[in-house]
Amino acid sequence: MIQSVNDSLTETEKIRRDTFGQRKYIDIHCHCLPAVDDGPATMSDALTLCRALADDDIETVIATPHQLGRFDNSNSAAKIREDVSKLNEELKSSGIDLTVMPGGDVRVDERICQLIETDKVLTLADGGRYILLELPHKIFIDIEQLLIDLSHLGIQAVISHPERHPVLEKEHKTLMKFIDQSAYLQVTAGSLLGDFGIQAQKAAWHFISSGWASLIATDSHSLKGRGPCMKATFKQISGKLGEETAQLVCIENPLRLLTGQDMTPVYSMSAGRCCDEAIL
Amino acid sequence: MDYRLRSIEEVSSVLGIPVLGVVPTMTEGQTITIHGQRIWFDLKDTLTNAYQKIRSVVLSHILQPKRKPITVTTRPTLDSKATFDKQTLVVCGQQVRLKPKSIIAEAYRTIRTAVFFGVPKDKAKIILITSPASSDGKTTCVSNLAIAMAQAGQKTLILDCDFRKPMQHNIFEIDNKKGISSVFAGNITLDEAIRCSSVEGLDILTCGPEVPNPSEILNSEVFIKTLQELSQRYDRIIIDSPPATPVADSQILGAICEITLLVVKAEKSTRRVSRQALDSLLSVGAHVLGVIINDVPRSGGHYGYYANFEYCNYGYNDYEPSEKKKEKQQSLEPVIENASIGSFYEN
Repeated sequence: MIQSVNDSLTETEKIRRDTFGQRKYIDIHCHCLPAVDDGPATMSDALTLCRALADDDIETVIATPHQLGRFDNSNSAAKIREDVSKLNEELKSSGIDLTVMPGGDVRVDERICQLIETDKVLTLADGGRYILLELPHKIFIDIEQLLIDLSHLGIQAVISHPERHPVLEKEHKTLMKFIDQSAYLQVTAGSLLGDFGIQAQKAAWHFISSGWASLIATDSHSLKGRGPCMKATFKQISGKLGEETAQLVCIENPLRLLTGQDMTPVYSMSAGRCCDEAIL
Repeated sequence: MDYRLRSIEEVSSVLGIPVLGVVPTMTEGQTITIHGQRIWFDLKDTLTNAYQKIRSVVLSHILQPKRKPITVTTRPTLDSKATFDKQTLVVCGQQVRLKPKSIIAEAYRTIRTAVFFGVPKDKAKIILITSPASSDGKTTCVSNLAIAMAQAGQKTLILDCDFRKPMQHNIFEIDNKKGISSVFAGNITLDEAIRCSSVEGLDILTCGPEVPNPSEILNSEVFIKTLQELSQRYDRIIIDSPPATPVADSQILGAICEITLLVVKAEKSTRRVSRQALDSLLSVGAHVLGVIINDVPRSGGHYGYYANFEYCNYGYNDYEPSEKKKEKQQSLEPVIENASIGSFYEN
């Protein structure tokens, strides 16, 4: 399967793959832009976070500042693109080996389709293929209609950290419905390590082992509390579910997302190991 | 035995309908400065509580050896309790406009989105907001939700149908001399009665002069026709109404409106009354989409499950305090928020 992914890569991507080897990660959900949301407050804080990301063997990161919700009218697509290019320049001059791409952590809102069309809300890596959706924390909203509307625009949704939503995490039927509507689930790396409590940890392992979740991302905000931990997570997943699964959710699927290709479902890989009780 | 609704799960299981929103308590209060020392009064403070706060400051001052005369400043300067209540109502009712980044504004935007995705498109034009008992916070829910909808580009009308205690005109600081009752009396046309608000895309139709028979007006053919006419012009019509239990008004409205939202007050609404209110609405065929839990304590209390309103898991942690600091620095202007709308119904 990984062979087939590698075949579909372009030449430059193949070269990059070869140069960096297999263990370079792509982080598709990260709050690394300075002074736009609850991420780093200053450029130097942002550089510290980026250095930590690079040290965690991450080569490309999609900066996903919060959009809509509380940051309605403040983080426009144009501003994020500008901030990303500024941060890339700073990274270059500070000698940090990390590429930042524009994106957004978009709070679920009825205007999303319209705002994508008017270029106010960003898709992941600005590729127009995937959008990262943040659902409200305490309230359950059935976003099936939104997923359908997005699919008319040729966009698939990536639902961020369902394991950390006390309400959503229990709505297994609805999550299945979302997945049927071609949504992907992204689990936060820290959840698997227990950073967000036992409930989130259990749910996270359940989503990964059952094959519902397709991606792992760090969702880093700052070094205190929520630093990047891709390496440690990769190790944990390969230990419990096998290296193939770890490779798929930590490396291949993020890369496919970045390059705008279809993601590979996980369940085919870990189908034989779906006994969550035993995993945790 | 405690019969009050204590958690979001309890609310949805007792009522059997989904919870669409959880609105935290508005925490601000009023400051007074006694000789350079600021005292903060939460609006929940009782008189005794407030008195003790003042007393301790005054005592400590009196005990100083070289004391100067005591100076007291209040901010904002208020003439009387009436002005205080009025300003509080404005600040609370327009929270979404005045503090768009607050968690309260965020809660209302979430309700807006939940309503949007809860019903097929164009099936939720006329929305009734009611509550089991008085002083549960319907009025502020109506105005804030309407502001949130208008801000999302939906053409919205607030229709105040609480003829018994009209409040919407106070929130938007307009008079109540003309309104829907004057249209029915044939004094003015509908266009003359509708007024613009300070929010773009949001219009208000107040109650107008008092009428002797509110239920009869709501139950009339003319009212239904007027509503139909209005629904041609607006994307959303949000109706404020009296509480569901003591009078029949909201039942009449519930039968006409496309969807109904029930507002319950955290740690105050009881299971029996909430259930009764819901049943009375369902019995007339109202489509109750969900519940809004209002005035949820931000920390501690029995709503512990939701207690963490600072989005701890969400990383808003770092964002919120700096915003609060900023607010506090400028906070010497309007410091009154959190209306006890209750008092308006209770007297």
